[in-house]
Amino acid sequence: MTDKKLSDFTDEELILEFQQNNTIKAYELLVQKYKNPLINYVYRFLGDYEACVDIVQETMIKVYRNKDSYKSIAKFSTWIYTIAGNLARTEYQRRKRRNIFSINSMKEDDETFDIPDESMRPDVITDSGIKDEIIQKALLKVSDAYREMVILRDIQELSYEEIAEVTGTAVGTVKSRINRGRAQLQKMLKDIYKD
Amino acid sequence: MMAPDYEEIHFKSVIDLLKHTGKITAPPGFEAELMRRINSENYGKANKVQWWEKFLISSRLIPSVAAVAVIVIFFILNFNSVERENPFLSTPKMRETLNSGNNVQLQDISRQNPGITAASLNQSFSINKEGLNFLQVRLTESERARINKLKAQVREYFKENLSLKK
Repeated sequence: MTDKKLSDFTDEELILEFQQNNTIKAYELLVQKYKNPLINYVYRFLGDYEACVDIVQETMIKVYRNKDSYKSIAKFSTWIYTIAGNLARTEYQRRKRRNIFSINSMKEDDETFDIPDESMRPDVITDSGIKDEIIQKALLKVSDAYREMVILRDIQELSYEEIAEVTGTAVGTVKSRINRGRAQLQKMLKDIYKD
Repeated sequence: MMAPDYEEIHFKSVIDLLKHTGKITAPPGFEAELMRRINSENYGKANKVQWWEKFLISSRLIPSVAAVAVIVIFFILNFNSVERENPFLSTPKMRETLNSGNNVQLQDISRQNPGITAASLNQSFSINKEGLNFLQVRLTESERARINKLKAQVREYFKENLSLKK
């Protein structure tokens, strides 16, 4: 099979090709296609670039290792977003626990910490600059259950049905959570979108 | 593309803001690093030797067999050396009565203290029904006579019945 043909394949055909014939090129094409959307999704959710790169790499490794667990009835995009979402959520919970612990210990020792400002990294700075930074900070303040869904819907532009599949939630719940998340963001960003 | 619903119109400004946020991209060399990780993990898996497989290496095989043999022999000998009493062959231990044991102790105390007699000690240490909070029923003479009468009737009844059967 030639590379030209592979590049015309749909995602589902590519993963099947990788499953059945172990065609590394098919896997590489999937990595190429999904690395940036997943980086964007995980970064918006976690707000830490290094951690997000690590999570997306881990996602791709999981796809490589567990390629046989993909069933052709599902869309490849929802499958890969589910893996990345699960890893991102686990990392987020781990950080939350660690932060609680470090805040408690900080109280006792009265130490000060310098929190690195990830938004000022050259690879994170985006076209809209400060506006983006404010949006990112606002996003991180939205409740995690709503944030994930708002990102998937309004940044990644997935359908409600796809989000329901990725998060394992009913479509109705997805819609209501997205709207609650949007309402929280609207409050926080009212000064920005008036400009 | 689906038509926007009421909420999407209501939150249009927020949605537009989010849609136009800059896209974060993967760092250069993302794929190369990924393939390196995959290959290193595969290599690690292929070369991973189970702990028990280390004992099967020819140079370690003889010492490990010898060590196992020594441990097994030690356990066999150790197990046999322990003399165990067969509970079915040994005579059962007699249980000493509490009273006799008490008496011996009381006699010892009275011997050591000549002022105290064994009898007085026995009285002070002995347990009576009142101490154990028994329900004590005091019968009047008439009640006692009635009970004795009933007992005599029962005895007679059994005697008659037994003689009839014979």
